[in-house]
Amino acid sequence: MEGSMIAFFVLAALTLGGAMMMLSSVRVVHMIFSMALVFLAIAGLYILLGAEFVGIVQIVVYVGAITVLAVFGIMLTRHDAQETSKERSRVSRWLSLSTAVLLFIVLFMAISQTHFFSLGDMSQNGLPGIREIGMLFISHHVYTFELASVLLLSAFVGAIVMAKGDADDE
Amino acid sequence: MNEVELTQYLLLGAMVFVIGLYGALTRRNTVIVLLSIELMLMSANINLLAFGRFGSAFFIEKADQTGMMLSFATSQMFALFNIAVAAAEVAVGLAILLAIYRLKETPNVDAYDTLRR
Repeated sequence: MEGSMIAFFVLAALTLGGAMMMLSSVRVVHMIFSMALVFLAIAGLYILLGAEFVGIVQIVVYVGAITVLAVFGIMLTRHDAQETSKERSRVSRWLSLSTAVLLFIVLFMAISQTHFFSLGDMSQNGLPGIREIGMLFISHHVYTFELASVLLLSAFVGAIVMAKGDADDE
Repeated sequence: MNEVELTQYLLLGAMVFVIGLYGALTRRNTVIVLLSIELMLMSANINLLAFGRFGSAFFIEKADQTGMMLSFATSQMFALFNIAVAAAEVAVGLAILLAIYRLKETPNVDAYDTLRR
């Protein structure tokens, strides 16, 4: 019982600390690698919640694919460190900070004032594994599954078409 | 209170969402803005999984074990679809960045104001 609490707080501190590092660092590549730390910590949170498969998929997709894609996006575009360190105008920065803080206050009040049923969690009866998720994928939600694959296919074809540009460009 | 509860996960999700929102509003580099949007999508994932694990009071009351398993598995499936959509979004977003970069020669989002002119 105590161990899961410690693990939760360590992972939450890693998540928030990595996100703060992302916001405070100057160079873009440092931002991407602190983001990879956030992705890993959130994958650990999923595993702590009992969703191992989602955590592993999170590591494969986010840390493996999206971080590499973001590094490619940085490397293929010109970037100077002093250009990224310069912020937008002071007014818009304060405006966005106050928007974020206000939204957090609203969410905090809503979460802390809602009374959730304290029925304990359901881990004592066994958590669903990959088998149950796979059965759901091919039984109840098979159309959604097919739709997701069509979405991914069309998104990647569109990405290739858009990134390739015109053939007579060069 | 020696057990991790639903409220803590929800508060963590809210914090992650707010940090992602602030990053998306203030950063100038397009890649970082895209990653901040990823952070917001992931906070939704945290909430989905936390509600799936702790929130199925209906099945706990009825002591319906298959129902409990099914509801948590369904929430994991939602999170997996969310991850798939996020991957598609990043791929298309970076392709759009490369296409605009060819036109504008800068990765900064506040330079992309062609429609306003």
